[in-house]
Amino acid sequence: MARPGLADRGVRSGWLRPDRAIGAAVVAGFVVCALVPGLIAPHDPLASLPDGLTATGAPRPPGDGGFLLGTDLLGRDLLSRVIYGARVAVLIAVVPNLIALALATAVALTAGYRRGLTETVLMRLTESFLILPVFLIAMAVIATFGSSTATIVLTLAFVSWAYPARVLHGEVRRLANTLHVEAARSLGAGALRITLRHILPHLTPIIVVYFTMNAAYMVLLEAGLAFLGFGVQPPTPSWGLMLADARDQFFRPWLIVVPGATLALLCIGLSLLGNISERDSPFRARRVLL
Amino acid sequence: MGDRNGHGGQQGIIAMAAAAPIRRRSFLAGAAAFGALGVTYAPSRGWAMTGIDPATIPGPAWQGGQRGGRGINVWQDTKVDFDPLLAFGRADYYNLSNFFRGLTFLSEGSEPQLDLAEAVEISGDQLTYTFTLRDGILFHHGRPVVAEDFRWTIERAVSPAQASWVQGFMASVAGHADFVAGTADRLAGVTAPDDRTLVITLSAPDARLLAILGIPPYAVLPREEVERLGDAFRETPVGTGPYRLSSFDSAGSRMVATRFEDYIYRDHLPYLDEIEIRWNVTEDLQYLQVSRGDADLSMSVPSSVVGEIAADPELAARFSTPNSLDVQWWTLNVGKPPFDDVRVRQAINHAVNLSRTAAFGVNPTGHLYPPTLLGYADSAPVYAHDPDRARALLAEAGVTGLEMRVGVMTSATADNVRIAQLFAQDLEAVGIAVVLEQRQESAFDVAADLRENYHMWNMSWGMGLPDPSELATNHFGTGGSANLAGYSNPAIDALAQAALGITDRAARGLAYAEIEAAVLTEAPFLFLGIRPLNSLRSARLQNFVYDPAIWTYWDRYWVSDA
Repeated sequence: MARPGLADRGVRSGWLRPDRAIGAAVVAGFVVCALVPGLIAPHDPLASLPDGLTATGAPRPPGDGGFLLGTDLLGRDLLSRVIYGARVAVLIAVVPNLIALALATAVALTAGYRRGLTETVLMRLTESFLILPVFLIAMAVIATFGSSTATIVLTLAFVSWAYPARVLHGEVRRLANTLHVEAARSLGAGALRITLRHILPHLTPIIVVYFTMNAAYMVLLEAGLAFLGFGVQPPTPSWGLMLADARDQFFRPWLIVVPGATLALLCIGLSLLGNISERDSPFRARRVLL
Repeated sequence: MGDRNGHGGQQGIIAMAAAAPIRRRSFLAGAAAFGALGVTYAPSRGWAMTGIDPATIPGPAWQGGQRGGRGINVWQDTKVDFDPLLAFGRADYYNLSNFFRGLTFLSEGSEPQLDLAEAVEISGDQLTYTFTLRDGILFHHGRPVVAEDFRWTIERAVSPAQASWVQGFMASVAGHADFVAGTADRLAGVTAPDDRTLVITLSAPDARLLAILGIPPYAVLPREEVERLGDAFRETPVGTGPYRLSSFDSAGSRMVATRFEDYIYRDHLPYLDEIEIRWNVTEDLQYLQVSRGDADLSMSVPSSVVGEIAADPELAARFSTPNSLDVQWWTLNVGKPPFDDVRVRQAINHAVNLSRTAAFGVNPTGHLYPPTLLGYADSAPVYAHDPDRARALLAEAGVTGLEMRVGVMTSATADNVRIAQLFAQDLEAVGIAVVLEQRQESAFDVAADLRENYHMWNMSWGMGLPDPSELATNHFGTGGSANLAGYSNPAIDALAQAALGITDRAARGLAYAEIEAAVLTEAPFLFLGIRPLNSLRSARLQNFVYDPAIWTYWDRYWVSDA
């Protein structure tokens, strides 16, 4: 008999509930936009279009002149900029998130399993990161090292690994005392094998949940930085930059509503997707010895 | 408004004074005609009449108003500083004349007229200016003003301890170099032989002197109050102006000033009982407050609402866009190849379509000088938008595959980011890749970083002295304090030095026009134009007169519902 797939397991376990399905669909939609924006966007997101402004030089509201979401102050198509803006959002949601969680997991496994002085040093370091004002630190780092994509990615990872590390550390300490780990140790397994084969799999549900939560946090953080001029730089389409550009445009509400609603939609999608408990997660470890 | 050809300007003052001392009556003879036409205010309260001839009150027309009420002006600055030497923002600098007045006062067209000086006698060689002060001038704290106060004020403005931006304006005063260098205790060229006489001796003729004395940093200060208050003076302006401070709320970002009842022109001005100055008010909020009547005057409503204002006849009647001395350009880093090649700099100027910036609050003249400035000439060789010419110049210079790093200073207005993106589109059309980087700082705070890392950055300069020498000295003269890219051209320096010594206004205008043409050709900047003021006033505010150097004249505005 064939082994059931992830979707089948999700439906059977109750994981693929409607809210999560909606979240998954929303996130998937943005991922597609990020991967192939050129196939979806109707216009070049950087080009000031000949008919992008009205006769008086004003941006076009949604629906006017064939522009579904309207145009911005430079006569650029907002729909195309929103679609291309997903590239930045998805990149920021995934890459620094993975780096941060990898770092958090490594710190938690090392500190939680080795204990002693190593644990003390690593966890006090982690806690010292927790008290830092994240936004200000991010602004300072980017202001110092520039606003290249690599700097932004590393900065976001740098300011967001500590909290999951603190949570995962507690779980590692609990798992380190379970029977299956004791059994592995009795059988002569080394520290590396035990942490990677017998503890790490049990952290997966927590990591997945944190990934989705952190993704929304990262997207909002990047948008906030871009809003203040510290994120990606114009003319790159970025939702945060679009919001920043619209902040004095209260007679043109679509300039604020379009990127704002898009940002909110992705964050809601990520939150719905991440609304998972360990029990019904398809990623939970299959063999647990307690 | 601005009269760049100088009719009635200071050359007229000098020519008249060379023949005979100028008295206020003859100095302001033209204004007397205005006075005869207007309705002079007759005070209803019981303070002593000054007997001042209303025709001798300097500045724009003021007659016909009614006394009473409060006027509110709103500004975007996040902080203010009312020490005249330290006021760099709009909210503080352009409100200084409400608290401080000087020997002269800049009227419309930035024309200097005698103010606290009753007369000035200028020697035949134009090296000695002898001012006679008006009788009965009082500081806000009640002490009579004497000539020594002016001497001390000028010395303070020039002193090395202050290192003020106006220090160099008095360079032609005898003994300036020694005093600034610290080798002399006194500024020898300024003396006060008696309480009502101030003598300024120059080492070389300087046609700008009367205008310099009319800018707020040279307004008279009471030494004992400045020293007693120390840093608190920056929030406690004490001068001789039409209003005196009654409350200063730093946390609430507002201050209130009431009519100074011993003001020298108290029989006539000011009209308002109180003025309120609010800062930390964003441009969009300024628009909402003034359009609704919650405030009376904004000088910077956002360009994004100009279309909405134009569509409303009632609002449009209260809106104006007077020219300013707020010069806009993008500095090209002449120290960084290939921008050391004039052909590349000219190519940049030809590549950009300035007309598109008009949507973002710019009057894209393409000039170095503001239209109201002496020396501005329509015939100046400004650059036409010509991408083909730009490509040809780049090819001639052997430049291909150029990538420009552009610093965008966003502290002044978000429009700079939009303009930068327009420029990037134009430059990419001629084969130049552009990388924009927003910076929150002022260009002056990060000058070394700009020189090191960028090929171009935006600059905005609100001219404090309505004279082209300010740009020549500070921005494109060798070693100028604001010449951030280090541009240097000895030939242009020589022209600027020669122009300083010309006392005939028309001749000065021609000399400075020649300098502008030379700078345009050299193209150390991507020339943009000026940022006119998007000025909106309330329906109740009357007699809104304006000048590019002084901006507002709250001593002669009145409100209709007082």
